[in-house]
Amino acid sequence: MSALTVHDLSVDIGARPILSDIAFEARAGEVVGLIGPNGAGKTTLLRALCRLIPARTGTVVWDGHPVDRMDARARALTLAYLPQGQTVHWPLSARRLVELGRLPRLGSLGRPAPADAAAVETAMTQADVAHLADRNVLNLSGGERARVLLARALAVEAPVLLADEPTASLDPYHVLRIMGLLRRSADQGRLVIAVMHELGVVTRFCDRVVLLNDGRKVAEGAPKAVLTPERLREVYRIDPANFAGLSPA
Amino acid sequence: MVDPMAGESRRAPPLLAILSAVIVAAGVVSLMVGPAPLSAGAVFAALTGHADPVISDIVLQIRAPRAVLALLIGAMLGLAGAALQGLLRNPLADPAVIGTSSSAALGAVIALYFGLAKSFPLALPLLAVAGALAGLLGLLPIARRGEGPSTLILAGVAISALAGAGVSLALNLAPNPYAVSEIAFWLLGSLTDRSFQHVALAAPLILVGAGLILWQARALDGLALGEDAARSLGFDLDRVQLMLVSGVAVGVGAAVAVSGAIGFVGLIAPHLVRPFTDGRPSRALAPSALAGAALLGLADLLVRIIPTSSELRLGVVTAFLGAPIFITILLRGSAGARSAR
Repeated sequence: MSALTVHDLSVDIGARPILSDIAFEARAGEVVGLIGPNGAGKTTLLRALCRLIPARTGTVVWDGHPVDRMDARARALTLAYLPQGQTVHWPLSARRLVELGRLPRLGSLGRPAPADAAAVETAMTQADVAHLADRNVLNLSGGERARVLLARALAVEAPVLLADEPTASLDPYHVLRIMGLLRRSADQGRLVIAVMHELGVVTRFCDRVVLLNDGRKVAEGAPKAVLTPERLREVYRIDPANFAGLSPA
Repeated sequence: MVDPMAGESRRAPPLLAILSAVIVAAGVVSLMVGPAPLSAGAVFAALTGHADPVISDIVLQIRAPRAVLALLIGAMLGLAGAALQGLLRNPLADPAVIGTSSSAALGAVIALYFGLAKSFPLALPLLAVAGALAGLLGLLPIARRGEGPSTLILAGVAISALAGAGVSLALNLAPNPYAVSEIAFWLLGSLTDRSFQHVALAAPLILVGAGLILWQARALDGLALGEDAARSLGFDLDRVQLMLVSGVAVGVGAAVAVSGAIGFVGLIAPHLVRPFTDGRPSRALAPSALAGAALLGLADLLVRIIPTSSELRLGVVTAFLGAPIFITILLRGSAGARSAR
């Protein structure tokens, strides 16, 4: 079974260490939640996994292949990345936006093949946005746009999907919907690593979590094993007794 | 073989056809108008080599290079504008934003100031191209130091300001009023009295510039999702920026070298065509180039048709044409880049 192995990963931004000695392993078929308070280094870790920022030390290996020795195209085809926020700069239709996920296969001058159109259709069906195909994404609701952007990341057909807060600022219904999509996508054999904040959702949808605090890994394992009341107090600085809605139970 | 991802751009072919028709019409009329008006038949005879030598010279030696340059330069400006708006994800970007126009103008002004253009006519365009490349060499190291479009824009502002100061210095120190007016008039832009030598100088550079831009078209699409997403799709954005900015500098530098600085074409051509495209920045490139060619072709016709006491300058006409068109686009609220979040 394919696995992503992260070994001794340290990342500096400028002279400031952001991540120190991060190590974990995640396997295809899993949904792994990257959790931790704001500023813990979750987004930096996700970006370092797909080399959007260079690591000072350490390695990221997918299926025996070091990610930083892949060329940009091979890397793009291995790790699909769904950034935080819903940045879309031009009034594209949903279909045109999802097609952008095929750019790593096309390169600068390649011609789209029937396989590309098929991948776009599949991704749109999976994310349940096929009926929005001709709508301008700038006119969609936040929940609809989140699904279209997820379809874009799925259309890459990469074995690893890195999603940075895919459910940020969505209503509970859409949070469950997006998480359901990620779950299904993992069940089909992908590895999904997602930065998450809603601990209840994490407990429900993630196979395992990696808890970060202050640039270091604090714990790793099944959500309920990691999110103990002591850790919530220590790392998240909340008293689980007073915030029933936030606790993983 | 059917292109499954381009199939639905139903409105694109008529747009390209309409723009091409305008360009052909502007080109033909451009060969007819001038101090000695010619009929379409006479122009046709000259083009096919059956006219008397005087008419043949007027059409082939005087008017044809001017028409070719108007279309070529307009196309380059339109293409550069669309590329920069895509790269910077900013609908206000135009070729002036990276300082190319100003630094090319400075090169030309140096040629005028030192009287080099009188002894060797091609000194002016050659120095203008050199100026554009010098501006590019100044721009790139600054632009590479930061991330995101704002560093590039600010670097362009700095280069423009420096080149503008150089032009002001030349005007300031000009030995006599004639030198001042020669420089000032050149800066307003014109295609009067250009020859096929100018075409031979500008065309290869414009083709190289356009080639560099078109090569990076897909990266512009990727950038629609922001820089991180574009990089995660496999685009090396440093390289993309280097190629696009170099393409604009070489192509627009050559254009400015021949015609003087011509504003507004690069800004409005992308806006004119964008509503008829599917929104992808790559799909605005070719139509924007055609729209630029059509605009400049028509503007250069107006320069010759409108009767004025002294010669109307091309840059003046494009600004008078461009500003109202731009305001109309803004009022219609279809200025293109609206960002979600």
